[in-house]
Amino acid sequence: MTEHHRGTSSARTVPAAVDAVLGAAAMATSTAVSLTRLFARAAAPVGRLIMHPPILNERLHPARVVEAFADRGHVARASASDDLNRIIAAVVPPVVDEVLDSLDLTSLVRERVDIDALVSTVDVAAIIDRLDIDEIVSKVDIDGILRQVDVDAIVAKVDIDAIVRQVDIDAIARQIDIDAIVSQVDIDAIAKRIDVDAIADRIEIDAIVSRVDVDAIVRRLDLVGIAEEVVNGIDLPEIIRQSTGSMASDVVRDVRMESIEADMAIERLIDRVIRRRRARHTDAPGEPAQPEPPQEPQP
Amino acid sequence: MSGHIDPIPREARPFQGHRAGLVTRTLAAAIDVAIVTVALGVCYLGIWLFLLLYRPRNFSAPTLSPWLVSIAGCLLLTLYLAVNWMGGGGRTYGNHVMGLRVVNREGRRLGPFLALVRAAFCVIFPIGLLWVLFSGQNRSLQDLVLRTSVIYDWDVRPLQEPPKPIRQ
Repeated sequence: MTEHHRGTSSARTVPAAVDAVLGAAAMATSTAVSLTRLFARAAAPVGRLIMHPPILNERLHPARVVEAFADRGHVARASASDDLNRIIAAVVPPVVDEVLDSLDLTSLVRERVDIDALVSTVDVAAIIDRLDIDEIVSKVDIDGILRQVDVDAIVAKVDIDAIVRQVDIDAIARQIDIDAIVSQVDIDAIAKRIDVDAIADRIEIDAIVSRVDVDAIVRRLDLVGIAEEVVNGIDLPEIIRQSTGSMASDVVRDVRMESIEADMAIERLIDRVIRRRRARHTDAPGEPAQPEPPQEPQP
Repeated sequence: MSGHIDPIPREARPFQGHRAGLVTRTLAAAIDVAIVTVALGVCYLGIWLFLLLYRPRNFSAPTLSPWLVSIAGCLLLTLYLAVNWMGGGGRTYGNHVMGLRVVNREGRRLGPFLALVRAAFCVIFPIGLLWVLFSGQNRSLQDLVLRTSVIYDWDVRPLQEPPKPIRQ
């Protein structure tokens, strides 16, 4: 892409004639180099004969002179290279600084560099693998960071309502094992700590009673059944007889009871005389079931 | 839950519904005989007063034949027993005093025919009551023959009606 931009820019700024001249020069140069190499290859035996003539002592060969010149030239070139390095070290940094100051590198990078392509070639996983997280963390002064944190300010910025709205309370509640929690609760200990008297003092009995629908409760009660049970329990007939003080009823009741006892006494006597083995069956058919009257065991 | 208030004294409740013994039944019968005797005397006194008012100059106390008195007494006693047994209470006054009730084999009060037959049987053969002593079920001879029972029942409420015969 860079080459494309350069080509496009050159096409816009340099005329075609210049390119034609450069092309002709390059072709001429190439031709000259080829001819020179051909001439040099052909003249190499001649050159060796000139540089090392067989008729002269080796010490007097022209090649020796050339080598001496070459050594001298090498020394001179090395000295010149050192001088050139010193000059570059002195000149280049300020020049580069001036150049960089004149350039807007940020916009240049943004325009010329494909950052996405560059980042896509970076192996982030490999970088992370190389990192020693523990060592990095051990170097961090967490206490110092925490001391600098203004927790109140952070909390003030937190939108608690928004967080709560996103919480699925039902899902959390479904995961809670209520039975397990309740089984760990010591109900007796809690009950012992409850001040029942204080609670009772706070209860407004009159207000509660005023809200009770007594009529509805009474309608649901079997008052007749309760009354019958109470009357049978307290032996109301006996109370009535005692309160009315009826001598006649007392006499009648006594006569009846004594006659019953006399009946039983005579029955026992007769049963003993006639050696009756089985007890008398005196329950009359069709009558409500009544408990058997007390009988003496038969001999 | 009993369903009703039991007016019977607690000590007497175990005996209710059971056949009565000889002493109680004899006392009840004695009261009934006494009532009929008094009734006979009242009748005699009525006749005596009637004759006194009707023929005051020639008045003389009426003399009654013992046979006539006996027959009249038996008839009156039979009628008295039958009417009371088939009545609402199923009991005579003597039964009422002694807490007894006469019932048929179904535990209901006697029908008119059965009440009349039993009353006549009791008047003609009162000694049949003594069979109560030897019966394993406290039944008199009349009870055995007519399949009736005399039970302790201090409840004053009337008994159920006797079942009506099914007419073909």
